[in-house]
Amino acid sequence: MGDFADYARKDFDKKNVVASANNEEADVQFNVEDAKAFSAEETVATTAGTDTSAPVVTTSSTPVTLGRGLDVGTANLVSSFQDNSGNVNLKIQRNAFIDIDCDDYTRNMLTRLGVQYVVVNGRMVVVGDPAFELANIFNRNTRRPMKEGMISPDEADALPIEKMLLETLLEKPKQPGEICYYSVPAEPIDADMNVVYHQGVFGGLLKGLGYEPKPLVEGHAVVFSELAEDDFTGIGISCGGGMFNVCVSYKSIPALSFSTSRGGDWIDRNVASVLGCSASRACGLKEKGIDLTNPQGREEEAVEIYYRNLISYTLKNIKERFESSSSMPSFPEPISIVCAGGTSMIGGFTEVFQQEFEKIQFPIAVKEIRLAEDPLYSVSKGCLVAALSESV
Amino acid sequence: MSSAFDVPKAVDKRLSTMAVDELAKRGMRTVKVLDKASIMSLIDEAVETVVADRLAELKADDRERLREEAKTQFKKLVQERNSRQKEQQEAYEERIENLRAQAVSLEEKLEEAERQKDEISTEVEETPVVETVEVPASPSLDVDQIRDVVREAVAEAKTEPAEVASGSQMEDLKASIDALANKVVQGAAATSSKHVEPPSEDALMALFSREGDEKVENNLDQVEIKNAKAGGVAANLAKLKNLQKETE
Repeated sequence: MGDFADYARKDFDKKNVVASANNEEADVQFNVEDAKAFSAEETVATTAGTDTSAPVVTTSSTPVTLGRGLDVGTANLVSSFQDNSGNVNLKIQRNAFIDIDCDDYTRNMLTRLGVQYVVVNGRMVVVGDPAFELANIFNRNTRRPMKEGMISPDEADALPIEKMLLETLLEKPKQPGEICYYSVPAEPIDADMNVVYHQGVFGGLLKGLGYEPKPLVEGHAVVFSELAEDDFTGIGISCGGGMFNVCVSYKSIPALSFSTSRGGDWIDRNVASVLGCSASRACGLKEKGIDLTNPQGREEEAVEIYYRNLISYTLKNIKERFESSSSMPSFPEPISIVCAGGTSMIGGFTEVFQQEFEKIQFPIAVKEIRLAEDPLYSVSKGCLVAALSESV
Repeated sequence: MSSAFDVPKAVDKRLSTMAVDELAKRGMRTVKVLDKASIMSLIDEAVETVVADRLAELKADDRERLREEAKTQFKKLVQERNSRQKEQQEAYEERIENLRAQAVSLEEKLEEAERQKDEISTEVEETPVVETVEVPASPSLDVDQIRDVVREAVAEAKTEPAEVASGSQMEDLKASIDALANKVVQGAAATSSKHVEPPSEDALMALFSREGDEKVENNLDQVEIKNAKAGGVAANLAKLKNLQKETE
């Protein structure tokens, strides 16, 4: 099949990796001896150089390796590719827009100012970060093509704009049918939402661009980019704008993936509600550089309160899901939890996460809780790893 | 049977009201108070004592006569009750027949809808047009309406007979209606779910991968978007590939 989800599912079934919900050792059917055979030292690359087995395409500018990663996030879209020097190049676009009156003067000014726009239904739509800045200036809310991790049903203009944003982020494939892994949310456990439509829409848009689209669950992407040193074993959490996506992985195989439907946007909405401002302004406040362990003033305290509440809510959901799952592996050793995503980038996030973690009886032994190396790019990089691994 | 004697009413009728000042004028400084409930209780006790004494004094003939009167009265009541029950049973049986007929009709319509769906699916497979993924429902199949009718019938069957009958017949009747209702509701639900079944992921991909005809005005290609460089993924990739080789 070539699809990671299928590959993982098949492999997981083959290995019969099942443990009881209460983690009783007797019930565990994990083949630990098999697992030990995968020595990290043996498999890790000796240098951080380029993987030479991946095909390379030389273009007029920079030679790049075939295979693309795309993080389709509620707040940000991030594409990635690897150049011939082994560097990961990323393009980032805020997944937001705002409509303004359309006239020739504005049209010229926006281009001169380096502001991207699209004309949709006779209205000029400013996209990306400038939309966010405009919204803050006018105390308006940006319009969002996505909501709670998926294509927004409230935005009729979402699809044409998303299509154009993807075109600028990814450009045309270097070769027809180039693989592009794109992130999708896992099934939410606290909301009645279906990811099929969202997955199908983005798959279709990428296919229309000439790529071979392959979905990858967000949490799994975090595992690919951040847990190589742990043999891709541990818990990857993507803390996004619309959702928190969790993936428990053993040797790169996802044992359990799910999402919770609260994310950074939930914080923005609540902070905006208590402070009496727009959600976009609350988001700006959140992103200006707050330290959650030392909030200053009423506004920062509001952010800290809702962050703590969100982390606590997510951890409780994770715990409940782990305890009720029949497919949870029992790990031979304590594992790492890695948090990624824009919502995890605020100062003191890991500390607050650790504090809330200690308040609950977590059902799995954890050796460390850490932040991803590049929290905002982690999911895209994970998708890139998956794409490169198949672009042989 | 003699008509019932309303004791509380009789007591009220004989009561007279007097002001406290009037009592004081008559030189009464204290009064003894007996509340109405106590009076009723005393009357009950007195009546029960008298009846018990009288029954003990009854002759054998009188007792037999009383027993016969009671028996006749009881039989009359049972007959009236059975008659009402029979009428209701007949009404329910008629309703069951109607529901059964509706179920048969629904099944026929379901089969027809299935046939139509198969025909459309065949057409869709033959024609590469994606918009035809939705299956049109049979226009005469008003599932919600039928479901409401059945629900009402079941609700009535569950509440009404409890007052008049509690025998196995009524239980059978209820079970029959429930079974029939389930049959109809499941049939309707199945049709309904087919009706709103979302298109498959493949169909969506095919739909959204089509090139749009119209050119949308934008300056996206004239403006550079935010770029960044991040740490390489070569180590991760090598490790993942080795892991995959090991597991194969």
